Amino acid sequence: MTFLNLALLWLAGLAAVPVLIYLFHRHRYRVMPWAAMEFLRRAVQRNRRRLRLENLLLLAVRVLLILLVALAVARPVSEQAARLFAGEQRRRHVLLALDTSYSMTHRHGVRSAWERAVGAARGFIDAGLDQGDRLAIALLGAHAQFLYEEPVFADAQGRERVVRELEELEPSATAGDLAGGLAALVEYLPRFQGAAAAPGGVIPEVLVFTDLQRTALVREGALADPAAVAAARRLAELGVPLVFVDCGAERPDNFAVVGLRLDDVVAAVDAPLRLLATVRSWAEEPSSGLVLELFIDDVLNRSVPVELEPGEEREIEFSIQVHEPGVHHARVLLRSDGLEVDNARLLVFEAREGIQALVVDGALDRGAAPAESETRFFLMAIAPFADGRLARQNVVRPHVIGEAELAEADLDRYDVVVLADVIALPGEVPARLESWVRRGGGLLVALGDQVEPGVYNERLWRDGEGLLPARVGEVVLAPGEETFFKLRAESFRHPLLAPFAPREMRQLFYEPVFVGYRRVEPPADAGQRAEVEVLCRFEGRRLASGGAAEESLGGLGDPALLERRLGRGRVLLFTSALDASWSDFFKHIAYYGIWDRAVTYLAAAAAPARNLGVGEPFELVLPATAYAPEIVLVTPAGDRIDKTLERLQSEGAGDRFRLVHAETGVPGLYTLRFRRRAREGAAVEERTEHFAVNVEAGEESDLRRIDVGELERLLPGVRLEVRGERAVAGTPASAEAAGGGRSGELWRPLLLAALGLLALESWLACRFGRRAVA
Amino acid sequence: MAREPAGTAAGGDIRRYLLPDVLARLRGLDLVARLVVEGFVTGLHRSPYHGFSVEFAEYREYTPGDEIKHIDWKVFGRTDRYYVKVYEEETNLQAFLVLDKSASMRLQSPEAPASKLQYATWIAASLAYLMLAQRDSVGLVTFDTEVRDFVPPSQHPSHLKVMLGHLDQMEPGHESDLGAVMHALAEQVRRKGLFIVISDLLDDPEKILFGLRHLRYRRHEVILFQVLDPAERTFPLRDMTKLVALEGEAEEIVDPIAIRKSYLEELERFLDAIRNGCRNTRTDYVLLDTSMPLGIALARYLATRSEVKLR
Repeated sequence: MTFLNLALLWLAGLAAVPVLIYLFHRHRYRVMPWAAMEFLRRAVQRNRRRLRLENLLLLAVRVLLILLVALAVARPVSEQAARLFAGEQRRRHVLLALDTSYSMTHRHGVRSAWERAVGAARGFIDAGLDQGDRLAIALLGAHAQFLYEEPVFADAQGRERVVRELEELEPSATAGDLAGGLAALVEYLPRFQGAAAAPGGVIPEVLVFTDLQRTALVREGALADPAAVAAARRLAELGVPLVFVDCGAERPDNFAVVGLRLDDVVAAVDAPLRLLATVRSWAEEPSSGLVLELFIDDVLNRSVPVELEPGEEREIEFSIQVHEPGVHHARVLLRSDGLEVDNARLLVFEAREGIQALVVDGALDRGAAPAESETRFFLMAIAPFADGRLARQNVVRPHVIGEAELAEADLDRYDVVVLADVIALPGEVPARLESWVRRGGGLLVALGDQVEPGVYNERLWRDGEGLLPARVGEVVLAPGEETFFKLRAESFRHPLLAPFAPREMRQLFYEPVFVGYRRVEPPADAGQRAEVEVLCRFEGRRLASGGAAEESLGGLGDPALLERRLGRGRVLLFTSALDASWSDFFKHIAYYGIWDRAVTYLAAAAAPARNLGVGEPFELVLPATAYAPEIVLVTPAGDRIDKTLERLQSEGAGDRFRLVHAETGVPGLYTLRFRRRAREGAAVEERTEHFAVNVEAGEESDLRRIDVGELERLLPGVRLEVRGERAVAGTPASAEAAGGGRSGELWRPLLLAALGLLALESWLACRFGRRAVA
Repeated sequence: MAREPAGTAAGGDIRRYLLPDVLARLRGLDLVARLVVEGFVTGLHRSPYHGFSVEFAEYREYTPGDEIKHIDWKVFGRTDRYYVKVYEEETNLQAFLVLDKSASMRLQSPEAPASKLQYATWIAASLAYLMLAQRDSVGLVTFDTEVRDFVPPSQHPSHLKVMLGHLDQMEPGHESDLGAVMHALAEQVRRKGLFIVISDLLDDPEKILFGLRHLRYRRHEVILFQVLDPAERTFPLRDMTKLVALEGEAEEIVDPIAIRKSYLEELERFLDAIRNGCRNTRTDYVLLDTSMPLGIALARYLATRSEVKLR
């Protein structure tokens, strides 16, 4: 038995008062002379035994009466006593839902909201449930999960099991969606047998242990979602009481790192890299004394003070360099508040010596002089530094060949392959290219007047099944001297075009003038197919009124740049030429910006996704040459898991192996250690790979709470109640649901018993003639 | 305490002197006796005793033991019955006021206007006054375990002073033994008379009734005035009380409410025994408590006195 008001238990000592009064009165009497002593003596003799019994009985009733009142005031909670009051018609069906979103890890005082929630849930189970009751546990994170397929019976064994499993639970690292969870809870309710199905059936109770985070309920109008509205309506119809058990802090200020990214598509060794960390305040007061620390490969690199106004989001820029090729990780840490999970953010990136690009210049085989080559300007764009010492500063290392050499090229040595006005692709080249792209290679195909559309379509388009994102068609030339084409983009969200997104930069994108291109036909359903995207188009224009201005010829033009994602690789198709034959593109900054970026973009595509959200699986595909028989994964918690490689059987994969790790529920840095011997007897080679898992930064970090009034507005008609975590143990969600006040809390039956005793005392006192006697 | 002028009591109604709480404010037994009797006689005009004559018969029927020389042969000639010619001194009643002055008579509960002894004294004084006014001969006996004072009967008006003097100076005694006293009186007083016993009778009823039968055997008339305190009759106590015996060493701490019923049952059983005993011995029995008007005692005496005359 436990007491909710243990401090008031001292009142039980007042039970001694009737005894003291009795003893006091026994020794406090008036003295009076008396004559008829004989009658008195006989009367006393006749009644002595009865009087003693009556006195003792009255005394016991009075002592018990005070004891009961004192106990009731101390509010005892007893599982066994609750059992006494339990009856068939007073069963309880209780669905306990715990908010597992990461905001529940916010620590205020000694315990986190999660620990408070588990404690309160446990207290409720211990004190509020009994044999015959039924119980279910739901976990409300990004999605609702139920611990049990069917509600369990809350007998001693069942309760012990549930409590044990409850204590083993951990909050998730995902954002919460209580509104979505509500619909899932309502769907689960019919699993309580007879739940409100028949008149007089047990009305289930739903208790949600949460920090009452406002965004979890009102994020993007979550409760206005039809499913949530229907769930609320259903709850109201069933009369199911919905109790929110408040486990959160009253004023939860929070500062968080909500983003960390490299501004560079590819991180090159020794090159200056721009690292951007985004921090945000959800506090009601300006920050004070915040420090943002940057660690590169676990070594403190920089520490900067940060000041944030309430609600402010700010990007902090760090300039870093890494000097070793390989996988590195950056961690920013904002030492601030009790919600630790969003105080840090990780970024894993691969630093490369350079991007190996195989540039196949179609003009070389046609005997063109270097100055007339297809790729002269393109090479200037992707590798701007001249040969010699400066060339080392080029991130992209181009290797130019003619198309005749392509058949012999080892594609696996390259990150990117560029086909510039290559007439046709001989023999096995298309298949090899496709296999290479699917494995993560990046291919840029630039058309030109030499391209043979039939060959391209047969070998590379293959009715949409091949490499190209569109069928190649005829050449389109500007109809007159005063007509031409310009690039137009519907959006600049694509990483290739992102530099032109600012309004002042767009002019640079619109400046180049094109007079020719090849018409291509993307699949009719390209708009619906995620793997094909038209990045920009040609718009026909002409000079108007003497050349002082230009005007559009109207309508959306043909595609100029398209992308197709194939396997783990990407293909870009440029429908005009890279050289100067069809445009003055090479004269413009846009040319250099786009192609330099295109090569790094394509190269980056081959890299595995190393920065994951919580729950996203990590996948790594390795060539046979990188096979390692011994792989150990070290989780952020320090657990070591043996991993094995799976041989890939997909088409064109060759001898490749895949490693998958799907259990990424815990945010942090995951490390893979590969060990192998190149040959028997050789030294052990070790290689390390990392990937990072970060929480979904954003609204889940906004710990501001929803108030009861808003909840009532959002859940109209629902029998809603908000209780403190301490007030939930043992008390029913409602009198109706609980069948009238049974839950292990004993104050009510104790008071009733005290009232009964009071009546009994009065009756006995009257009957014994002691009304005036203490 | 102010003394009320005799016969002109405030309010003009002398009958109020029959009330014990009024009498308690008066000093002097003679005054009490006179006011009681005058108040009582004033009330007789409207009482069932109206028309009662204080003239007494000069003849009485012959009973064995009477001397033959006292038979009035003239009356015998007229009536063919033997009547004894009663001498002047013998025509009046010889009465004894037998007053219990034992310790138990000292009881006066807080609500009572007088102690039992004081009340008994008032009765005795009033009856003495009344009897002497009727030219009856009256004597006084006080007792506790035995007879303590014995004033022989006399019908002389000055005898009242003697009687009241004894009553006034009477001190409460010890335990009572009415039975023994009645035996002693039965043996001592040979001439048939009227014994007016005024006592709380708190003694063994068997012994009392045995003594009573002895008196009756001696052909004495007996009027038994049992005087109790109102508290003894109703046991109205509420708080825990230590009751200390007026006679002896006994004491008892009691919860009055708890034992009231039993006490009253015991009392009633005792009173029943007395009542039945009196009925069996044809003894007048009057239960009084000290809050009752004294007229009851006087009326009862007069009723008995008239019967005594007729017998």
